Amino acid sequence: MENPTTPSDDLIRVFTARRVRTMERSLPVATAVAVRRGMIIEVGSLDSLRPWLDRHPHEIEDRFGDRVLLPGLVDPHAHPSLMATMLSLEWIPPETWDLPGGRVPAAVGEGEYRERLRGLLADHDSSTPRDRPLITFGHQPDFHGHLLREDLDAISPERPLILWGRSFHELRCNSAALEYLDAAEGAEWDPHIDLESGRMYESGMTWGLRTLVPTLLEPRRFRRHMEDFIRLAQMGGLTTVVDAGLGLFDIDYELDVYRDLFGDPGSPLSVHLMPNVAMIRRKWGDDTFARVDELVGESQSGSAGDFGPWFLRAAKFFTDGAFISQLMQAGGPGFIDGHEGAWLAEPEQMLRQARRWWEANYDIHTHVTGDLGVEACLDAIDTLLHEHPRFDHRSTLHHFGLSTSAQVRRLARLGMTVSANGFYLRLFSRRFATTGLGWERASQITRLGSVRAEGVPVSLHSDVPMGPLLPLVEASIAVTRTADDGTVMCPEEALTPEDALRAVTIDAAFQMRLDDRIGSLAAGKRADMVVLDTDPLEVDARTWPDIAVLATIRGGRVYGNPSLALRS
Amino acid sequence: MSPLAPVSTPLPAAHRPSDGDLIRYTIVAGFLGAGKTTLIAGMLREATERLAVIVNDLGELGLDREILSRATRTDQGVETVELDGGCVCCRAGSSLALTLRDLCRRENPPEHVVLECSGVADPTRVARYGSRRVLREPVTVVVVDATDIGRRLTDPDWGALARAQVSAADVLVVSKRDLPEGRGGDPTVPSPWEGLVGPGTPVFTGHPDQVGRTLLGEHSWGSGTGGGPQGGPDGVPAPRFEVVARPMPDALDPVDLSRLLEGIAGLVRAKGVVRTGEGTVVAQWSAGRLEVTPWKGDEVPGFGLILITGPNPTVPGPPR
Repeated sequence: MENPTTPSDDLIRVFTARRVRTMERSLPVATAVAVRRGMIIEVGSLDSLRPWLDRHPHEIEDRFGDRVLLPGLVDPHAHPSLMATMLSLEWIPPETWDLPGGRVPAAVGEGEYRERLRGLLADHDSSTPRDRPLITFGHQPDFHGHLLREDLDAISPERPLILWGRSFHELRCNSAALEYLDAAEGAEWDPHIDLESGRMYESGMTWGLRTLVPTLLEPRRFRRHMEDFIRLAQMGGLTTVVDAGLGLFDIDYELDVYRDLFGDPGSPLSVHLMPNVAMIRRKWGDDTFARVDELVGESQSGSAGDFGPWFLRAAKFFTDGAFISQLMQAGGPGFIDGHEGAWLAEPEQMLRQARRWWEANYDIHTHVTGDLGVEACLDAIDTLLHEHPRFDHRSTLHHFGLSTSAQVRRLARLGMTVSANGFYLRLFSRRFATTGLGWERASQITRLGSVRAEGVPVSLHSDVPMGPLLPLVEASIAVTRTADDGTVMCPEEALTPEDALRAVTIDAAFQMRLDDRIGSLAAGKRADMVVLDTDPLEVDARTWPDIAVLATIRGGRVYGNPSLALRS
Repeated sequence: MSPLAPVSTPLPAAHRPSDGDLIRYTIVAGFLGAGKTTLIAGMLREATERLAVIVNDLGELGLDREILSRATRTDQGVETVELDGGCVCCRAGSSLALTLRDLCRRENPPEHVVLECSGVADPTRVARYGSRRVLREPVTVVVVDATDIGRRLTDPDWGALARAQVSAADVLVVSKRDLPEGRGGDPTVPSPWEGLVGPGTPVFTGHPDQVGRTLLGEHSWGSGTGGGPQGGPDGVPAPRFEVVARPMPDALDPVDLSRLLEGIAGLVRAKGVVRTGEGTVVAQWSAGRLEVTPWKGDEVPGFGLILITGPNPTVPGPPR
C-alpha cells in the first residue's frame, strides 16, 4: 500500500476540485471540501470557506484541482473472505479482470484456455513440487470447452489439477486431483461427485473444499489476499464495503482477520459486517443472537472504535437458489425447459429465522434471485410488520434478478428497499432470453426503473467474487442496460445517471443505515471521497467504465490508486 | 426409487437382514410445521438402538433443540447440517455427505441415522446421499399436515415440491387430522394425496409423536394407539404391518419374481434390488403389479427385497 498522506491533527485541509458532486440535494455541486480530523467541516468553494480558513490553520490541497470528487463509493454486498480465497488461485477467467498483480486477460475459446493452462503448469513445474495441486479459477464450459478428467490427465498427468468453475459451483479434476481430494470416497457419499468425468459440483464441491479450504485460509496467505482485496476495492473507487455474509468460513477466524486489518484508522477501506446468522449459528449455537447483539451494541455505541470493523444492525437470510445456474425460483410460466429452481429456505422457515432479529430492530436483508423468492420475502416482511410493527426498517431485497411489477408496488408499500446485483443484466439477460426465460422476462432482469419510480432507494452491488469490484461499471450497466453482446435490454427499466450514482453512494449508505456518516459530502460527515478524472454526469454513461479512479480519500487521508502506482 | 429397508425393530431373528452391519437410515420429509420434529422426538423416546438425528435447521428459538434434547438419551446424538439446494457461497464447509460420513465413521457409530429434511427438500434427491456400503437404503417418511396439504398440493408455486414430497413417501404420516379443518378423518372425503402415494403405502393418521414411537418401537407399524393405515383418531385398531428383509443373492427372471411375491400372504409392498437375466434392476411391487427399472447406481449394496406385509407373513425361502 502506498504511504498515506497524513494530515496533522488540527490542521484544516481543503481539497479543491474542478467539480465536487456531493450527492446532496441541497448543495449538489461544489469546488472545495474542507476536512479536519477526518470529518468534513464544510463543502463549498474557497470563498465560502473563508470564515473557517481566516480563523484556523489550514492548507490547500490542490493536486486534484482539475479533477472531480465524488463521495467514496459504497458496495453494500460483497464477500471479502471468499474473494480473498479466490485471489490465492491462478486465474484464467472468461472475462478480463484487473487484479492487484496486474491485468488478467479473458481467455476465449478452448484452444486459448488450454494454452494458458499449459503455461501455468509449466510455471509451476519449474517452481513447486509435483505433488502440490494447481488450482485455477474461471473455467466456464461455454467459453472454454468441457474439459473432463481424461482431457485434464493429458494436460497434467502427474500434478493434481483443479479447475474451479467461474460459476463457483463446480470443480473439475484430473486423476491426481481426485486422489488428492479423496473423491473416490466422496463419490460413495455424494451423488454430485462423478469420478469418470472428474466433476465435483454443487454439494459435491463441498467435499473437495474440505481439503482445499484449510490451505486457502492459511493465516498468512489469507491475510495477504485480504490486503489484495483492499487494493481491489481502492482500484474501484470504494471506501466502504459491506461483507454481506459474515461467518461464511468461520466467524471467529474472520473476525480476527478483520479486526487486525481494519481496526486502525490507517486502512483505506471501511468494512461493515452483516452476519449470515445461519452459518454463525453452526459455530456459536444458541448464543448466536446474544453474541452478535453484543458486537452490534459495541459497534453502535462507538466503543468498538471509529474505524470498525463495524457491525450493522442487520442480519442476512436466504430464499431461493443461485441466479447464475438458473436455480432461482421463477414463478408464473417457470422456465422454458421446465426445470425447477431451488429453495434455500421455505418462507415459513425464513420467517421463523428472521422473527427474533426483526423484533430486536434488526433490518432483514434477504438474498432473493427469482420472483418467487421475492414473493417469499415480501410475505415474511408483511407478516412481521403485522406481528410487530416497525417504522423506518430498512429491510432490503438483495440481488433482485427476477421480479414482477406487482412486487415492486408491494415492496414499496412494505417499506423495503432494493440492492441489485450490478452484473446480472450484462452477464445473463441475453443468455436467459434464449435458454431460460424468454425475452420478456429476461430483458426485465433487474427491474430498477420501476423501483425508483415508486420512490424506493436502489443500490448496486458486485457480490464479489461473483462480479468485479467496479461500481462505476455497475452504474453504467444500470443506465445503459446493455447485455454482453451490446443489446439494449428493456431501456424502460434504466436508472437515470443521477440515480445510478446514488446507487453506489448515498442510497447504498441509506440501506445500511450509514447515510448519516458516509455516502454524500456534507458538513459533519466522514471525509470519504473518490477522485475521478472525469465528471460522470458530463459524459455518456456508456463511457463510465473508462473513467479513471485516480485516488480514494478515507477519513481525509489520500490513498493513490494502487494499480496506477503499479503502472508508473 | 429407494428400495425399502426395515424401520421396525426388532425383527424375528430369521428375518434379520443380511446387511445387518449396515446402519439403518430413515429420511423424514415434509413442510415446516407438519410435525417432523415431533415425530422424530417420538422415535428418540422409543428407540432401543443408538440413534443419531441430523436436522436441517434447529430454529432461531431453539425450540426444536429443546424438544429433541428432552427425548435424547446420552448415547444418542443430534447433529445439524444444512441440506442441498444451497449455494456453495452460502454454506462452504458443510454438506449432507460430509455430515453423514463423519457420523458413520465415528468410533462408536450410530445404529440408525434419522435425517430430518428441510421443508423445501425433495426427499428423492436427499435419498441419493450416503454410502450404500455403510448405510442401508433409506426409508422415506413424509409428514403432511391434514389442514393444509390439499392447498399445498395444488398451490401454483409450491405444488410441484409438495407433490414430489408425497410421491416419495415409503410411509406417509398425516398430522392434525383430528382438527376440524383436517376433515376429522371423514372417510367419505377423498384424501388429497390419493393417486400420489403408491398403492399400499402405509398411511398413518395419528399424532406424530405416537407415530414416531410406533415406527421405532417394539411394535410393528400400525399397532398401539398411533393409528394405522387410514385409521382415524378415534383409536380404532388398525391393521398391523411387518417389515421383512429378504436376501435375493441369485439371479431370477421378473416373471419368477412376480410369482414369488404373489405367493406371499398379506404382502402390501415390496422394494429392492435384484439380479435378472437382463442385468441389475430396482424392483417395486404393489397392488399385484411388479415394476422393474434398471439400477442406475454404481456399486450394488446387496441383492434383496424389503417386504411390507400384514401380520404373520409367510415368507418363502430363496427360490430354487
